[in-house]
Amino acid sequence: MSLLLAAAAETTKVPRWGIFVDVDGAVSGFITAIILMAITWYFVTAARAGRPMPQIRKLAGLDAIDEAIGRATEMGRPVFLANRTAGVGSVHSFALWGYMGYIAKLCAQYDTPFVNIAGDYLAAAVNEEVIKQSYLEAGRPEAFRPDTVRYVPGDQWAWTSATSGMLKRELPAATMWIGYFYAESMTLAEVGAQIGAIQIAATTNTAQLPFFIASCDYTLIGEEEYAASAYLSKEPMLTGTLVAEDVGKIIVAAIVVLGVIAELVSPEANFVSKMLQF
Amino acid sequence: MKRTVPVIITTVTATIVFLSIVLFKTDAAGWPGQFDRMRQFMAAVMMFMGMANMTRVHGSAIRKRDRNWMFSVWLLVIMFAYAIFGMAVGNKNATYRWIYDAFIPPINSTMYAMVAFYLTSASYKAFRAKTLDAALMMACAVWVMLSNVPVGDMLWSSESWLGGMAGVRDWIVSVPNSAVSRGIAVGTFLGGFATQLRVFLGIERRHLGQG
Amino acid sequence: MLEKLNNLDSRWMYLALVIVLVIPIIKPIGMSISVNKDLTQRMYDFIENLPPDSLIMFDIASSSSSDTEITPMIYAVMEHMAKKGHKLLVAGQWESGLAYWSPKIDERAKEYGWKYGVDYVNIGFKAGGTATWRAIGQDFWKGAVGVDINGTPFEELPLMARIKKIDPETIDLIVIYESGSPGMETWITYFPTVPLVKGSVAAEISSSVRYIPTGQLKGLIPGMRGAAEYEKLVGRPGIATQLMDAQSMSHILVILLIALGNVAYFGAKKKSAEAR
Repeated sequence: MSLLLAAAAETTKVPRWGIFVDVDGAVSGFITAIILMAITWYFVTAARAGRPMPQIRKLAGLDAIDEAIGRATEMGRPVFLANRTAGVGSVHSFALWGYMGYIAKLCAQYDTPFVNIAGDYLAAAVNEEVIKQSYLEAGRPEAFRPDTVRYVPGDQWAWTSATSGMLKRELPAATMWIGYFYAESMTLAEVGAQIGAIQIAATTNTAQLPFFIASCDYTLIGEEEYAASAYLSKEPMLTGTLVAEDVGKIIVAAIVVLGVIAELVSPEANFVSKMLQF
Repeated sequence: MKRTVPVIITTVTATIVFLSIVLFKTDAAGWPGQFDRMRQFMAAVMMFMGMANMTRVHGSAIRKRDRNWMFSVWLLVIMFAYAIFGMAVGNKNATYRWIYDAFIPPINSTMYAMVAFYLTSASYKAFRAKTLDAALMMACAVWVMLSNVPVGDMLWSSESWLGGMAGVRDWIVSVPNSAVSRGIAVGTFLGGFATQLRVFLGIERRHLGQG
Repeated sequence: MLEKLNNLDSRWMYLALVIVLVIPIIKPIGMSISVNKDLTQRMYDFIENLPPDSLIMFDIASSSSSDTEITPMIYAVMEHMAKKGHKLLVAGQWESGLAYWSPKIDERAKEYGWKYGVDYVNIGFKAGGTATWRAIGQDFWKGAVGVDINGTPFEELPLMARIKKIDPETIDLIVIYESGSPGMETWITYFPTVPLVKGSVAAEISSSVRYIPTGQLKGLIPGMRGAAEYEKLVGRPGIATQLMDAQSMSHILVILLIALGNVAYFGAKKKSAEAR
């Protein structure tokens, strides 16, 4: 993303190469994006054609979702799923909806109360649709209650205190913190631990990972957050995008290794960094 | 139709934004800027929808005399009173600003400060050398904390070999920590890219109310 | 006993924390502070080595909840700027944060005898996110709608005459005070050539330091501890220095609790193994 976004900085109005803006990484960023798109397209098409896709490695945090909902059902207590920061355009929201659809469907099937706390109103509106659809798929549209999706304005500590209050009052058996969290992660996870909830967290914010790891039962690290919709739905086309992502990772690793070797041999003639700056 | 139209809009918009930030002849006031402004306008409108949602949820709690319904009354009174007052006097009004400054920063700071308490109890429970990994994590945490206090400097001075405790701390933070953090960042970027592509290609359609 | 200790009630820990935090605030111990050479010192050196009359831009990307960490950082950097005779341009990606810190900045500026419009300008919050910042970057006056926080036209503010865009020739350094998003990514991504330093809340330090070796950040003030270090460097101890004793004591308490937790855990484990 940085490569692509770096291309957005317009320092001059003169095109560097052809019609590309005169910014480091504009051309290479564009080509990288096209290559990644092509790889994804290839694997999606392969999956659509019924070709076998590799197995996704086990992700304990995602496997634990069923267990957590089962426990909530046995205890007759609700399941909480929350995200504070993500708006509708955020990649975290698209990841969240993958979890949400699956969890809401299971909760509807088991007649377990499900609560979503959203910090962005536009996202809350979409969350409502996603959950309603899941309840419909489970054959229980009437189970959707007006307070299933609770909009709490996303101001960091106002949201956190409201959410902590709900946790203390309603004592959910399972809490799931999915998305980008900041310092509130410690408060949320520790309040959840104090009420004895099974906790599953997923975040890409490396600064907050230690807090979630300390207080949650399962923590999905970095990109694992995005794997949910493919992992939980087991839909081959979605799995195809994960395979493409891993191929991309191999390419990045190869470029890093090449770049390090080139830098060691001759920093002036490092073709890798020149290529990436183009 | 319900599925195709939003997918087409998504793909066309994403293509325009993608090309306009990479290719020549983009202007911040051009398409990406326009899309941003449309989103802002929608967000402003949706703020009222947010208020409506809160009124509905908390109004229902008050009507049904739910447990803690008094909190709902409190919330609605403050929300409407402050909003109406702000609209009447404008957001530069001294009293309006005083109300915010006198309440919100201290309350926010208090909530933030509570992190220290939660951190203490979480450290007590989590940092136990149950496995080699846990022991390593604990050792690093203790080292970094100890090197941040003067006692650490007394134990192994920063003027001595390897920069003392603080020197090793800086190495932990800037080498292994940064390396892992960058590794996760690369994975996160590719994961995010793949997720966005799923939307771009219309494979991911949960947000359209479809499984 | 060990079993009880193993499951110690959190409230005892909270009580202990209150005690170790309050006592040093009431009666400071005056523990010494060493300066982090990789982070705080780098930032100090960068500002120190700028020629006088350089233009430094503050980006407030934080909310008032981080007041205890961010305020001493702002004050310490302003003190440094006053000593070196730099000019200040205040902006903010967070509306509430900018509204909160603007009066504090004005107050300090008054103390230094800075003249508004000549020595410093506050352009206020500009809505529109990164799209607006890109527009400001290309044409500052047009992108920022040509008025400051109070609606005064840029034409009436002499300092603004030298600010036509965001580039290294115009702005010598951007100092971002950040506790969340949007934050430094705006500058790293869209204005990679303008030197950037950061005042970071403690919770975000570990994810910020990776930008130091790459040169994307020229320096960093790590949390309140970093603010105290900066106060030491500029020779004006402030609130961060006063609170350092309390923070140091709390760190020691946490270390002791971790040790106690391990003793209790292994003790209880040994006892149950013996019982079997």
